[in-house]
Order: sequence, then C-alpha cells, then structure tokens
Amino acid sequence: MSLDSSVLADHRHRIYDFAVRFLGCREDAADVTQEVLVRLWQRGEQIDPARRKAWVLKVTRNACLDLLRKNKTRQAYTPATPSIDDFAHDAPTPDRLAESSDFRVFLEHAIEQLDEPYRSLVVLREIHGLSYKELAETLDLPLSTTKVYLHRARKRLRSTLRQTIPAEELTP
Amino acid sequence: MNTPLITPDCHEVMDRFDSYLDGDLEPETARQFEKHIAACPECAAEHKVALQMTTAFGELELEPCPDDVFERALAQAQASQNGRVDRPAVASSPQPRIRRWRAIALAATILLVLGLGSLPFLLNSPEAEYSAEEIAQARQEVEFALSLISDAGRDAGAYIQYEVLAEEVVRPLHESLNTIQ
Repeated sequence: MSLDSSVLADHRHRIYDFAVRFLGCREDAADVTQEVLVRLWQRGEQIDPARRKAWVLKVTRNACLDLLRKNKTRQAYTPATPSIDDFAHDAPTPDRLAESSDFRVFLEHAIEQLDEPYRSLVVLREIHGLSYKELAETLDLPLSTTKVYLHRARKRLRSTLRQTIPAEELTP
Repeated sequence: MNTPLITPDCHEVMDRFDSYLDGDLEPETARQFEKHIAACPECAAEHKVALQMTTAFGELELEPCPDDVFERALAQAQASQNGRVDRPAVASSPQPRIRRWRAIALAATILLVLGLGSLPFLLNSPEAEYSAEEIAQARQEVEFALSLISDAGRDAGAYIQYEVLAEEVVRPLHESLNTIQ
C-alpha cells in the first residue's frame, strides 16, 4: 500500500528547499528530492503521520550527505571539477553584499557559512518550523544537545551578521 | 528598601538572548535583561540583530520544488509500485534496471576509455614491485571509475545495483591488487 500522491505534494517543497540549502546546487537537489519522494511513496504508509515531517527531512539530509560524500570522492580524483560551493544558488557576491540593504540577503549568506550540524539546525528550526523534539529526531541528537547547538548556531549567526552588516544598516 | 538587582554581565545576557526572545525568562530576569540592554551599546547592537533575525526568518520562503521534478518523482514512484523498478533512480523517466551484462560491459568500457594506465599494468605484472603510492593510486582509480560508472548508469536512466558491481568488478579488482602487495 502506498501513500496518496497528495502526501508527496505536501512534502515536495520542504524536501527540495532543504536539499538546495544543504547542497547549494539545484540540480543535485532535484535528484535528492526525487529519491526522497520515491522513498516516501514506498515507505510513508509505515511512518506515523505525526512524525512524517521529521522522517522526510531526516531522509533528505542523509541523502544529501551521501551525495556530498560521493561528490567529494569524485572531486578528489578530478581536480578541475568545480567544488560544490561553485554551484551555490544565488550566492551573494561581495559586491552584492556590499550593495544590499536587504537583511535577508545577509542572513541567507550567514546561514550558508554555518558548519554542520548548525546550518541544518537553523534551517530546520527557523525556516521549516520543526520543534526541538523533531530537530533532535531528525539529526539523531539528544534533546539537550540540540538546544545547545541551536543556541550556538544563532549566536554565530548574530556574530557573522554584526561583522558583515554596517551598523547604520541595522534598524533601531 | 529596594534590593539592588544583580545586573547580568554581557556574556550572560548574550547567552540568554534566545530565552529572552522566546519569552522564556522570568519577568524579573527579563526586566534585568532589558535594563542591561538599555545601558550597554554592545548588547543593544546584539539585540537589534537578534530582532531583525527573528523578523527575517519569518519572511524567508521555501524554495519551490519545480513541477517537472515532482512529476518525474511521482511517475517513478508509481512505476515502482507496479514493479517496474525496485529502487529509486534519478533519471528523467522511469526505466527498467540495466541488465547484468550491460553493467559489466559498461564498467569495462569506462575503464578502457579512461585509460586507467596503472591498473592493467599492475594486474598483468604481478611479480613486479610497486610502491605503496602506486598501489594506492590504482585503488583510487578503481574507486573513481566506480563512481563514474554509477553516474553513467544514472544518466542512462538505469540503476546499477551496487551488489552487481561489487561482485563483478570491485572484488576481483581488489583481490588482484591484494596479490601484488
């Protein structure tokens, strides 16, 4: 028994968005999205609907990690191959950052600069709206560790933003 | 008599920003927090950034999944239900799994095309002496070739099962490499 296709439609944007932010490459994100949607179709019926969102994002993150590992292996033998960063979607150039007065541009850039698992925590919590419990489940972390890491991630974001944004750009 | 409140220092304030913004601080602690922010330019700047972050996070939108990606996934999922494929592939359209002999032929072809120089040489001359670097290089080439094979299979719309590659390509190559160490 498989899920109704509407369930896949409900999760499609979530999966794709997370994959794009994690991989920085829309083409790879499309591959991962397709893979995860098929798995959701095949196994989603066995997943408690209340936990489906966390399950989907966990599978997505693992698929992204697998793809990065594979790309890393390939790049090790192909020095001319551009790194994953070269495909970063809408990566703000220094000029664009310098000219931008849009706080969101700076914020997106600061998120991209976070290491794992901080970036995933921020994206999942602040953009995808996961609860602390769902975050812990998605990243296989203890709840207390999840909270500490998320706090640390936000602190790093603030620090990066304060170094990047001219003081006069900050709203009073 | 008013008991002087203990003013938290900047580090303490910054460590509790999230709790403050989430409204999790006790009212008295929140008042101390606000009092400190009002008097400390450093923490006031941090506060501004934190508030703007909260606002901006609420405005960020999910990157929409393109329709063609979704349609391909749905078609593939439905095909998998009908038994046409048993594992997810990422091709543009669902296709039957590649035949076993084709996987092997594809592996051999790629190895030849790439001209993996040291590998055949090593395999054909087991009595020769090779450095650890040469052997390591050969191993790397094998792994690289496997990566390319997997991609080629994917591009061809077929999923080459890893077990097939492991049995027919990886294990024999590793065994050959082991004999010359």
